[in-house]
Amino acid sequence: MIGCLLLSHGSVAQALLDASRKIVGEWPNVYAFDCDQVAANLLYEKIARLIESENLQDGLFILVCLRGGTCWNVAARISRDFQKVAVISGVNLSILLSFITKHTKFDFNELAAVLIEDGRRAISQLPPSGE
Amino acid sequence: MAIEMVRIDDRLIHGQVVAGWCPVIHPDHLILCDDDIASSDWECQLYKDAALDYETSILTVAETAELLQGPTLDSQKVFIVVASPRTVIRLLDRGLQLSRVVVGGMHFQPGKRRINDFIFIDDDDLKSFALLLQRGVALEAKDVPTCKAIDLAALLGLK
Repeated sequence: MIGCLLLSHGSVAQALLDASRKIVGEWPNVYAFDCDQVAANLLYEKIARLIESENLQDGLFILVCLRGGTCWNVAARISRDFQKVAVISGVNLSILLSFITKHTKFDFNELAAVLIEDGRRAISQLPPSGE
Repeated sequence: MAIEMVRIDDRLIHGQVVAGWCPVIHPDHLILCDDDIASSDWECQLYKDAALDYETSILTVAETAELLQGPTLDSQKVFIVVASPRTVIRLLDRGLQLSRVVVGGMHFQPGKRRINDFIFIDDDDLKSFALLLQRGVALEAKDVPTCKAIDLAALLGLK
């Protein structure tokens, strides 16, 4: 199974997970951690334990709130050290819903492109600019 | 050259620094001073990516002290980030003059005790802070720009 770890400052990760449960229900392969207070190396160890203890041999997407932030930094180290771990920054609810509804339909590499495309498409403006 | 801020933060270049402080300080040059990180190409690239568009150098203590005491950064605003008070002591040992250091984040590790929400220290950290005070460096605790500056010496019972 492919897994998804939401990793954020504050309660963004848990709030996204809660929101997704109201829309598409509960999924056992979606996890939420926050990166506050604890030192980065302890967060790294917590994620490494998750990968080793859960059934995630098909891959893990780590969805982080902010490119350049601590979550992203730690996720980059995990991606360096473990096979089939991809980090996507700028998480939004659409990316998470896309993961939940599509992760059984694509392989790991295809899914990465799908998630980024769906996340980008979710950002829009009304009314369109210039009108 | 003006050293706008020396920040102790074990997360080094991250959200609070790039999204929080840089738009307030507008540094011409961001320096990450850390011997271990400066010796690893992978780490250097990671932190340069994290700094987004800000001009960034990742340097050892020796390189940082030399750069800051030379003419290269004349007329530039510099923002220095280090992981530990021990790094600041080593910069002083190499001749750098500093009047103030801001502690922005020393996060929880086993064996460290809580000072406030963003500062956790052990006895070695406390000794280092005491030494910095003896050497005339004021210590301020402040994680983000909107945080009220806290007198860290008082908070640590060093006054």
